[in-house]
Amino acid sequence: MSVTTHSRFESIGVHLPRRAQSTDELLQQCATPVPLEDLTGIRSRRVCGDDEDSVSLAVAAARDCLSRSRHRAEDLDIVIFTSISRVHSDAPRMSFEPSMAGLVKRAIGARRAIHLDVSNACAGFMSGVQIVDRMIKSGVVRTGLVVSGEKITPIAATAAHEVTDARDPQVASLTVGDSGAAVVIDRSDDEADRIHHIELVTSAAFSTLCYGMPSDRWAGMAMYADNRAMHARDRIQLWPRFQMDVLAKEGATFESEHYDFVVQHQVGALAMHLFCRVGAAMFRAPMPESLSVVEEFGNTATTSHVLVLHQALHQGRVQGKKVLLVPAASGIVVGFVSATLSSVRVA
Amino acid sequence: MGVVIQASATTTGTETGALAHAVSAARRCLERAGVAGEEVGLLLYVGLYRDDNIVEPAIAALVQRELGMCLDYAKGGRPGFSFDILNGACGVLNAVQIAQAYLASGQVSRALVVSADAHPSGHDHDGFPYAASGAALLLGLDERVPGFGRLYVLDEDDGDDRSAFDVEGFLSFGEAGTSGRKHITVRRDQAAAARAVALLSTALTRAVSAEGLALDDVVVVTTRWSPGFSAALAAACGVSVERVWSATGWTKDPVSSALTIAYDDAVRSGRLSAKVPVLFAAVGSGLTTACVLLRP
Repeated sequence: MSVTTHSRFESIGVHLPRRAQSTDELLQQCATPVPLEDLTGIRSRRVCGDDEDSVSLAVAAARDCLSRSRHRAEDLDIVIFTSISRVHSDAPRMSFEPSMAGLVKRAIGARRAIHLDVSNACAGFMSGVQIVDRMIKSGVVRTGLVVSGEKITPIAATAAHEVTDARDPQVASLTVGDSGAAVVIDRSDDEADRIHHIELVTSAAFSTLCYGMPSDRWAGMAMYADNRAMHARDRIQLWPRFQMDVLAKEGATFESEHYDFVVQHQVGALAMHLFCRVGAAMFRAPMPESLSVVEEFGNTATTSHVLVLHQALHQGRVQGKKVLLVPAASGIVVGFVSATLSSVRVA
Repeated sequence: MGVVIQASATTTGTETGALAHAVSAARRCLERAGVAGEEVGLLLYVGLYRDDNIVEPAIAALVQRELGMCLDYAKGGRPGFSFDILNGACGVLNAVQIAQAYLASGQVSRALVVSADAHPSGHDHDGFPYAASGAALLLGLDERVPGFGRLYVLDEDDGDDRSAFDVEGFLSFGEAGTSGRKHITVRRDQAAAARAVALLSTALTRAVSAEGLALDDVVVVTTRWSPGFSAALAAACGVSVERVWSATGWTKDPVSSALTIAYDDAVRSGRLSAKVPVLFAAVGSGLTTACVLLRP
């Protein structure tokens, strides 16, 4: 068997709930006024109906993805489900077993596939992509589906009831939006159609800065984030520092990689701008154009980079271009994914 | 060259809460191997039921912090990465397969697979069918042996009926109200135990055959769905009960740690010969199974 040196994004699919909720509409539920749009640039987000859950969002995204893939569901070797929210019910619930991946696999007919759920906060999706990438390289699998269904807006409902001021640890919960995303990954035989890097690192000293867990004042999930500490300069520098080290070992630099676009984790316009500025200063190189959907869809947690890629592909902007994806998650997990997408088509 | 178990460990039983079980097992495992936390490149956490029903960050990151593994990348030291895997009692074998791929890449030289479960309140409840427990496996490369082989999975084919699960575990806010951190519902259909035995016996028979072996050539290390599970599995496979080993002495199922506990027991009681292949065979919620052969 020939050695596979790289994998690629072969197909991308998304699913967005129909209902849009404006930031004004959300803030009307807030007991305390928060200048959310000024802080984040987020004007709206999508919100699930009662008949949608993490599994249905994931299944819809997987079907969208497979509808344009060269691979059929029954040819998939592995299915990895990666969301933070784990709702498979029309009732407010958080599920721990059976695995969501097994439910998605069954729904799409991926009969042969190995399945498992991966949970790694907002870096879950890219963790799943890295697993499939490493498995393809080691010859364990040929084709994998990474999927997420993020019904995460219940934490916004909790925050709306509990936030007391703009510095409240639940303010970030007001930024989230619901969505589904999926990618098919297979081997790359073409330098112009591959994942060039996918590298992640966890700095666990900071793992207690952000918790997602049930509220103790409201019947629902909540997220408590120490944003001041999460976004301290030393934390923001983790990504460029790590990427510079990885590239340096290969004799490369940020500039020599010639990225056409950068996609930050979609946490809010001001924060994303700050990440790019700190990156440019540390890399001592200009940052490529930053792509964003945060204004329209909010922070969609695990699916954020895929939603941006999907929209940019739809607009015909990134075909054949080298895109740098920058995950950032509780843990703290940082890293970088760079890919050229040449064969992916979107509807 | 293959991936092997460099050390295994379970908890003392005096710990309270899932995180405490996880950290205790991980520390004991690393101590046995003489390995420092910072020498671990990849940490995979496969536990299901966690303290306070925390879903973020990955519990793996919280364990990583306690072990002193890659605390702050910016301060130097070795990079480390961790995440959670959820797949019922089969998750530990998903972790073994993932560790194989990362070890093969040369990216890491050691992977630690940690499991733990406990009622989210930290205290035992009659209706909660799982034992407060924890376990850890340290995996690494050994150029002298084949080590772990490929992963075989087999699911029960029971149609698309999502309304009826044999096993399901969830937090219902309708039931818990504002006590969501201390509440969990786990439903296990007792009648499913017989189907779990039948499914796993089919799965492991196929896996052994695909490896070119007979059932008498291997020792089976398996999960513990119910008391007497290993004896029922041995009978279904038509092999001696001496060849099928699961965690013993437990009144409740140590679910995500069940395989590691069974392996650790078997090693420490001298039941595993250095020359006999070990078939790890798990069945869990889904119903789904996972089997992997460890060749000496």
